[in-house]
Amino acid sequence: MTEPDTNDLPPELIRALKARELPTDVITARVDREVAALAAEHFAAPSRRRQRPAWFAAAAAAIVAVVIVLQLDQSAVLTRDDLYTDVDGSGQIDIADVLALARDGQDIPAEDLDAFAASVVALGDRS
Amino acid sequence: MSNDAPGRTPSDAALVATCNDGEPAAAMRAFETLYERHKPFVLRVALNVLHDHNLALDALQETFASLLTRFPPKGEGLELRAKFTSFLYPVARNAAISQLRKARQARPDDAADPDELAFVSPDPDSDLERLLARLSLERREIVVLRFILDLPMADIAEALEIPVGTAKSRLHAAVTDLRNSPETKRFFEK
Repeated sequence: MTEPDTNDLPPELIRALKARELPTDVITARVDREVAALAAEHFAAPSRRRQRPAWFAAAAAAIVAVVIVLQLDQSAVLTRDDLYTDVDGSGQIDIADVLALARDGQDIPAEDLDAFAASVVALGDRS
Repeated sequence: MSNDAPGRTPSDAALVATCNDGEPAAAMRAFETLYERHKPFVLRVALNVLHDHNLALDALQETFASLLTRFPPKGEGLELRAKFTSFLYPVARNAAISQLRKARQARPDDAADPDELAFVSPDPDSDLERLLARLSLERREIVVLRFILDLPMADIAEALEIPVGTAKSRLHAAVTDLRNSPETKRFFEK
């Protein structure tokens, strides 16, 4: 058995309270216009975007640093195995790959590079 | 924040999120939607304090102007932890009381205590109006929130920025006033 809710009112009194509520069909056109103007001014203000937190800049800088290190690492490990491959990822094997190997390659004999260059030039001549 | 599907009416939370982080045009549309959706609620709150349409309109404008400052770039962004109306109620109530004070300052003969002044009955001859006018602002507003605006107790506590237990005891006191009052006693005797 539940006890009657002592914090409640009889339905008839609630109806009477609601009936006495003032009508809200107030003409609000003036305020509508003014609120719209305030909102337009507010949201159009410069630097609308929220400021990124300080850690965001630090994280971005760290990512850039890691990418640079990885790229340096990648260029540091160019070896004879990279001969006749698309070293720079351009989608084709060309003279740029030869130059990349010449610049960043380690322990690649000059004659191997010359042979790679010659084959690239020969391929170019055939096309 | 929101799981609203395209084409559905966006929730208050989704609109608040757009006001916080959306592009300017989208943020403005979201704010206007919030305004249109909650304008009647704010007007009801203001009219229950003021009973003056012009002052209620000023309170309406002040409420939404104040809300606007919570959003970037001026504000940090609004974090909605309860229903939007629970957040809006104290803003609207304070705006209404502020309008009331301004109106009273323009008429220095009147007293300045909002608890005494915050109710100007539209029909001072009715029993119910006389009773409501006698209730303190604290008790009157909890009656309005609970029985006229139909807010649950948790939302009322949030709106009044008080613990739920305090809201319940305040409501209990208001109901006791109504139960013992000659003007409303008859409703309880049926």
